[in-house]
Amino acid sequence: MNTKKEDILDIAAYIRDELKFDHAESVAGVDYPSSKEIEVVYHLGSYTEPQLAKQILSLATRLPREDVPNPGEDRTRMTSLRDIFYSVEFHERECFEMFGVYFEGHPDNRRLLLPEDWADIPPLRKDFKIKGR
Amino acid sequence: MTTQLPPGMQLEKVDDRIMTLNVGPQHPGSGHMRLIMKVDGDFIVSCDPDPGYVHRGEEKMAEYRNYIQNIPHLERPVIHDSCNILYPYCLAVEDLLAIEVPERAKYIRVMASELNRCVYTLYWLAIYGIFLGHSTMFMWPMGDRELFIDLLEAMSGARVTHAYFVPGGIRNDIPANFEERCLRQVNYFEKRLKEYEDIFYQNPVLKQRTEGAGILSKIDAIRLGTTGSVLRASGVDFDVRKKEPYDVYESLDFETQVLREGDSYARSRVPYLDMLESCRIIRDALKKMPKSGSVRTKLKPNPKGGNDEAYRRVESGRGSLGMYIVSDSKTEPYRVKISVGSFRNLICMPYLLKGEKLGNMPAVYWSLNYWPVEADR
Repeated sequence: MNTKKEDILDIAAYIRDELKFDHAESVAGVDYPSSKEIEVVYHLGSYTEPQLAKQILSLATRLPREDVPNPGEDRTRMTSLRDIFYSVEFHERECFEMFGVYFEGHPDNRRLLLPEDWADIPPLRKDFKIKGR
Repeated sequence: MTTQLPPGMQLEKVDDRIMTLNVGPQHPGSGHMRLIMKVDGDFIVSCDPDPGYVHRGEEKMAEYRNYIQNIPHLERPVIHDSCNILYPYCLAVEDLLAIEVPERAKYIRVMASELNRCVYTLYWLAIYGIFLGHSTMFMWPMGDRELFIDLLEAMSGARVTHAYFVPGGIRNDIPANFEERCLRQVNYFEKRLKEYEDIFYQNPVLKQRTEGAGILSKIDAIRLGTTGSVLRASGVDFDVRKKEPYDVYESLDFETQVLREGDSYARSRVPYLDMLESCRIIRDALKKMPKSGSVRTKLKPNPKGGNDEAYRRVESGRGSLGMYIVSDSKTEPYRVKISVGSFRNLICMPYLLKGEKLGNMPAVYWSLNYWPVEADR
């Protein structure tokens, strides 16, 4: 399911309240430098509804991407879904440091896996190259 | 002079009552991760997990290698459970490349993944035992683990990093006398598990330390999106093998183990009950497996996926393990996202440890079945 980033909060609330999906399995960022976009994909599942146990709902939205990222200051930002799905907390933190996507309303936008003194661009963006490759 | 220090390195105001305590990253009680805890006397006021000390950038590396080259390095996050971490990768790549897996390979895969689950769980149980001061429970699982390692070595040729699963089946067929040997060891192991029950799970000292420690209610377990043994110990009946059966799990005879207590004791018992189920699955798979046939679908050299994406998950030793692969018609995947059980269960640590006694920290922490290397990827 693809949405605009302005609508994602309403759609997520609908998914939780009406469709009964109750937790996030993963939050994945995908970088598309050719179209200057970053996609954020939420994979949602349900523990409470037996018919939905087999289903994974993927909720995706695309954000504008700047060539020189400055996490927190640029336009790559979206509303955090933490108020809807509590379980996205650490996943969004990971997405923040790896792609520079700033989640507005997230209570704890800090680094998680990267070293504290990491001073390069977010490493999972496509323009970050592994040395020697 | 006020220079802004990077996040995480700022100095904090020192309180005269609350003390900040760093557990890890080298502390044997925490694994390769740090728990920044604030303690008031003996009680934990808050806990902030700080993973990332063993982050190796598996997801980035996967974008530089083709679908086959990715196999040996994607199992590195959890080498004790390497079959189960490669499983979703193979399933997703099979979806992307539209490959059929031979029937015999499906059964062998299930057996290998169950044997590997026992290897992982025994390793975890050994550490859980030693951190609760039960050194017999360190020796026994470590010794019995060798049985399964030997079996996997006979199957794949490697003791720990098997790289046994490939998209399209498995790397090679099992040796001739394997079935008989496997059955003998599984029978022996089931007897051993009864002894584990007596010496460890019925031990009053263990019960006293773990019962009632770090209770996670059913609602919270769902809300926090926990998975695997943590979820099932809180009374949620969810096992990917049952709910979304992959390969031949549908035709095999086993049950999902669910406990209702939600405390550290229940969380440490669910993996044990899972091992009993694993024995059942292996025995059933040995019976139902086709006795001959191909075990690997031949791939084209340098296979390419279409402009497509796939998300597949399996039940690993630490819960649901998902792989999300985006392909853009190249020989390398465009993006690989590994969603692991350890990382998903990390979120309960602050909730469970808050208000707990510091001495209970290892009992609660290890009961989460947390594997730092896997969580960091």
